[in-house]
Amino acid sequence: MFPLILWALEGANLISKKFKFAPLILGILIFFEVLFGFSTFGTKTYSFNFPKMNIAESYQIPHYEAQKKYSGIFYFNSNNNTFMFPYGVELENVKLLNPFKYFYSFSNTDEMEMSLADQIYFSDYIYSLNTISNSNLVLKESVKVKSLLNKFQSFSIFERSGEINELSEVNNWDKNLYIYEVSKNISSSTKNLSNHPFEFSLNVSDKNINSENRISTSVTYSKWWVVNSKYSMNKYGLVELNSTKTGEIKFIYFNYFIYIGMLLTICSFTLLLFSEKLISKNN
Amino acid sequence: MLYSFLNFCLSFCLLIIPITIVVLIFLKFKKEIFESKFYLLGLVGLSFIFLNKLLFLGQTLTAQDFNNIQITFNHFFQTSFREFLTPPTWYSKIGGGFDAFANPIANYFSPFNLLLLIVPEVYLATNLVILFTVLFISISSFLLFRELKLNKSISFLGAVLFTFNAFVVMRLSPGVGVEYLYSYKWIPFIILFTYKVFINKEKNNLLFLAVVLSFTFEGNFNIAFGIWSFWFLFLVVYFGKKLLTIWKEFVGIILFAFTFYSVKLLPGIDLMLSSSGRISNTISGWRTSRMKLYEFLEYFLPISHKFQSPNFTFGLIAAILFLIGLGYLLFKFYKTRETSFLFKFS
Repeated sequence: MFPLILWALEGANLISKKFKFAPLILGILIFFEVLFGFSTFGTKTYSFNFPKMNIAESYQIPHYEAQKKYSGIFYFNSNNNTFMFPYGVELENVKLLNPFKYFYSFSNTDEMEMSLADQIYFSDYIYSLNTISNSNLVLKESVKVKSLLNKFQSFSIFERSGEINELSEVNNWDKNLYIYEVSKNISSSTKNLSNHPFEFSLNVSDKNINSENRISTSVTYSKWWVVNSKYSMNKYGLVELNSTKTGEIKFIYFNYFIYIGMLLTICSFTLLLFSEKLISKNN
Repeated sequence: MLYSFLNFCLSFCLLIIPITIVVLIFLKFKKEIFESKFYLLGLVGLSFIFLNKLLFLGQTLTAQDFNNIQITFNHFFQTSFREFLTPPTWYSKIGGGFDAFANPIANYFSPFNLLLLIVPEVYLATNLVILFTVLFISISSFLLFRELKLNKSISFLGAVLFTFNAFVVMRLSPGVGVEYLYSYKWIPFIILFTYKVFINKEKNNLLFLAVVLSFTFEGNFNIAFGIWSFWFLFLVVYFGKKLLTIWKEFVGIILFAFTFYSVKLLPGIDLMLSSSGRISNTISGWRTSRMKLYEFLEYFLPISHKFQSPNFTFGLIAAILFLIGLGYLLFKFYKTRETSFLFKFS
C-alpha cells in the first residue's frame, strides 16, 4: 500500500499548489471517510467494523457463571472449543485440562481424547453435553445454554451459534450443559492447583500412584521441568513421575533458551547503547 | 536464588528494554517532533476519536484471536508480575499448562507492555496498547514522510493515509487478528532507517535499522515474513548488481536483529521444533484456498468488503488523489519522455 500512498501524496501535492490547506482538509476528510463510511456503499460501511461486544457481556455467559462456584480441574468431555473460551477460563479461577488449538505445547495434547475412566482419574469436575450415569460422579449443575443464543449479541457467541444449533438439530442435544463432580475417595492423578508462573509443589499420596507404580500428574510434559525424580510423558502428554515417593514434590520450569536468549538480548542492547554514546561523543 | 536473579534480569529485559528503544528512536527526531508538535497533536486527537469506543464506551474488540489469545496472554502477563512478581513463563490454567513465554503469539517483548502493569483491568489495558500502537503508526509515518522531504501538511496527510486505512480497520474488525498491527507499526521506521542507512549513507543508524526490523516479530510471523521479504526485495531492486557491495551491512543487520530479539526467538524456535498443536506438516482449512490475480486486485478497491470488512483500500478520496497523482505523472512522462521521476519514490 505504501507506493499507492506516495502516488496519492503526489496528487495532493499538485492540488496544494492551488489550495494551500488542501492536504490538511483532505486528511481530515479521509479520516472521517474511514471512520463513518459512505451510505452509498450500503449498510456494510467501514463503521460496521467497530467493536460491538460489551466487556460485561463476556462475564454473563451462563456456564461461566455456574463454574465460578467450583475450584479444581475441569474436563470438557466433548465440543470444548464450542463452549469454552480461553479468556473465560483465564479470568475466572478455574483450570481446564482440555488443550486449545490456539496455543502451542511441547506435548501431543491435541490428540487427547480421554475415556470416561481417565476423565474421572485426571479431573475434579466434568462438563458434559449429556447426562452421565457413574457411581463416582455427582451431578452439581445443569446449565441452560439456550439463553446464551437469544440473550447475547456478541460476535464470540454469534460465531458459535451455528455449531450449537447443529448439535441440537443433528444430535438432538437438549441445550443443557451438565457439570459433574468427581468423588474425592477414589484413586486419581496429582493435580496442580497453583497458578504460579514457574514453580509449584504437588502433594502426592498413595492414591496418586498408578497401577504401574508411577505417579500420574495433571501437568503437561516439557523437557524443561526441574523435578527431583525421573519423569516421562504419558499418552495424554502429561508428566508421569518414575517414582513412588509420597509427600511434596517440587516442580520448577526452567527453559534454558529463555535465559540464553535474554542474555543475548541484554548484550545487544548494551552494544546499541554503547554505540549511541560513542556516536554522540564523536559528534 | 539463581532463579530469582535470572527472573529479575528477564523482568528488566521485558519491561525496560523495548520502551527504552522507542524513547531512543524518538529522541533522534526530537527537533522534528518539537517543530511539528501541532500536526502531531492533531494525529493524537484523530487516534482518540478513531478508538473512542474502546477508550470511553467500555467496549472491546470482537475478534476471536483478540479475546482468546491476546486477553489470555495479557492477563497472565499481569498476574505474573503483579501477584507473583515474576515474569510469565509457565501458564497452568489450560491443557495441563504450556510455555506461554515461548509461544510466538505472546507479544511479551513489546514497548507498550508496561501499560498492562499500570492499568489493572485487562481489557482497558489492552485497549490502551492498541491506542498506543495506532499513535505509534501515525507519528512514525509522519516522521518518515518528513524524512522524505515532504512538507508538513503533506506529511500529515500521508500519516493519516498510513494510519487510518482499511488494513488497520480490518485488523480491528470482527473475527480478524489485531496482532498484525503490532508488526505493521514498525514499517515506517523500517523504511525510514533503510533510507538513512542505505541512501543517506548514515551508517550510525545501522543498529537501529536492525532493531526495528527485529521488532516485526512482535506481532504475527506472516506479516513479519512479508515485511522482511519486501525489505530484501527493495535492496535487490535498489542496488541491483551492486548488492554485493553492501554484504557486510546486510549480514550485520540480520545478525544483530536476530540477536536482539533472541529473548523471544530462541525459546520460540525451540518450541516450534518440538511442538504439536497448531504447528503441522499438513495445510488445512482456509489456508488451502487460492486466489486469482484479479481477485487480489479487488482487495484494493474502495468499495470492496471481503469478509464483511474492507481490506487493503485506503478509501475513495485517497483513490481519487492516487488517480490524480498517477495522471499527472503520466502526463509529465508524455511531455518529457523521461522515466526517472516515475520511480522517484521507489
